[in-house]
Amino acid sequence: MATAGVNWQKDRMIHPQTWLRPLPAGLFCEPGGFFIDPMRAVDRAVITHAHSDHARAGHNAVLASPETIALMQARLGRAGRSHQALGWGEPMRLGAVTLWLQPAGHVLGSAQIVLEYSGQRVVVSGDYKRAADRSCAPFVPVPCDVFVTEATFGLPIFRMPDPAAEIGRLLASLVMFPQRTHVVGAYSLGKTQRLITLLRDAGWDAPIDLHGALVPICTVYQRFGIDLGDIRPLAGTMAGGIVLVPPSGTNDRWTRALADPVACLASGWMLVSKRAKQSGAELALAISDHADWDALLRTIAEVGAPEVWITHGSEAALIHELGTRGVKARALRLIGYGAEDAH
Amino acid sequence: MNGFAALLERLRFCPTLAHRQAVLAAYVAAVPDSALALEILSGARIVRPVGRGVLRDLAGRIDPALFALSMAFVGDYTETLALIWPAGARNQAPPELIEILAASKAEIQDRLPAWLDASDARTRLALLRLCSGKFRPLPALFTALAATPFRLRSVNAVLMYMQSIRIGLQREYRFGVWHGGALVPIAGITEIAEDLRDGLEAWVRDNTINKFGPVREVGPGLVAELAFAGVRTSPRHKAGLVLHAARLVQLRPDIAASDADQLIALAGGNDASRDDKSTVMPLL
Repeated sequence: MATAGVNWQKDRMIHPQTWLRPLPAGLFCEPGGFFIDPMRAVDRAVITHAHSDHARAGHNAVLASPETIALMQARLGRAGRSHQALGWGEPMRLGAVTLWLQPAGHVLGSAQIVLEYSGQRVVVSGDYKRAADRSCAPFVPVPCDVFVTEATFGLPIFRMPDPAAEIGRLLASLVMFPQRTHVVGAYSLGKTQRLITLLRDAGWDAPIDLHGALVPICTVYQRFGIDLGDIRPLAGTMAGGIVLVPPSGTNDRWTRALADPVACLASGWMLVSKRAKQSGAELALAISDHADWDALLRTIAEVGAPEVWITHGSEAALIHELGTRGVKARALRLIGYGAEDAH
Repeated sequence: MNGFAALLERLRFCPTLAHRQAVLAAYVAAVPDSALALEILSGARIVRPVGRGVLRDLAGRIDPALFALSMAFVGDYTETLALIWPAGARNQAPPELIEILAASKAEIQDRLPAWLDASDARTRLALLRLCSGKFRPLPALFTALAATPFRLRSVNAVLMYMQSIRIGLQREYRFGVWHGGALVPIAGITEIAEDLRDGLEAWVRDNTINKFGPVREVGPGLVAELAFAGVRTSPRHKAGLVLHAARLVQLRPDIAASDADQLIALAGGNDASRDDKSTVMPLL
């Protein structure tokens, strides 16, 4: 593999677009012989984080952070036929490529993948955010030649409010309607645990009841030392209090057993009235686990990359804005991302 | 204004009328001066709306390509402007409702950019809707409002008539509030504090515009704060209601007659009026 890499290097330009390419199965690093977050089962996969649209089943060998491996095992039964866990900042040689992981701040274990080859450094950020979140390690900017970014919220209308203020709206609603159970729709991996830690930080010490689908992932978080306070599986009908359920569950039949429930939904999309209305939520909380517009621009400025590739999301506005700032940006249009945590 | 914006959003997403009523009742209980907000919601008070050109001028400060892409996603011009407006220095507070209501069209146009700078996205949206005349109290919302029991401890009313009950001995002063651009009487007050009696009578003498026997009609110029124990429905009164146990708290020469309260502020009863004779007022 190493020999092949060297020959390959002699024959072609070293620009990353020649060795890191979007293929139908996903982003392929040719001199390393691996895919990053492939949408199909492949021989070798490096996984940024355990959301189902990035961490799919059926790979032969998986390389990821220890937390991501554990989360994949909890969700899929196993992380590839074989797996290797890599700690933050530990360099590793794969083929002709040196690779290491840095935290992306998106969910527990979420990593940016740093690739070095032929004197060029590419950072594949996966999904990431810059807002504080004590349920996962914070994003670390890594200077690079090419920064591969998401753009889930790549429009200037998306500037997320302070999450503590949004949690304040939930708590105010609990004061207003103490007898009504607040049923909060949240994705099982990331959003659920972030909401719990935000509630704890806001002084909500009471038990938080969880829909059964949310329990296994919370257990993994606790195993990695994230304190979630008193959480318990939902049992019986509640009057008052907070219940977390999967996003589709806030208006489910079973919620009717709860005391006049307030359907709440926590998502960055809730900033836009049309989306909030469509969700059917009575209380829409704009809490996002993705970089918002300001965070995208700030991050791209911090890593100092003259070139930005956009994997998925609203790329047109970001490409336009970066153009005005002298940064060359292009869309990879990888199909299949944004399916779990971004709709 | 932040509280009003939060109220609007909460009302917008309430699943049922009963929930809207509960939200309104909670708002009234928590916010000392909720009457203005309720008047705006009911349409009894409107902000002098600036033209669409003003919104276009504001949007003109934004990169047109970014605005167009955002507009395509949001689907609403006013909301796009509210969301895309750059975060300003937040050392200023958003305007109070009273400031917006008191402002002329030109003043609103002039102050709107600074108001937007001082506000978060939710408040910016409420501000832009309010100031561009895009604000509709929805019929369902209005019903919720009219049927919401809430406590209004006092009302600013305009003196309309003085009647001599026994010549030289007792006077009844009748006060009204605005409804549909005209004053309608809501209370007659006979108990007047000693230090106010001479002044009131002198004011009536100087401002009488009509006399009908013992009744003097005065021009709308004197505002008084009236406290009351409850509101009762009364078909005999043009307003459809009358204040129960009203008393004059103080004269308010600082308030222009045109800024006195609207009838809608009295919608609903309060605890003291929940007896057989009083019902919740369906207004309009």
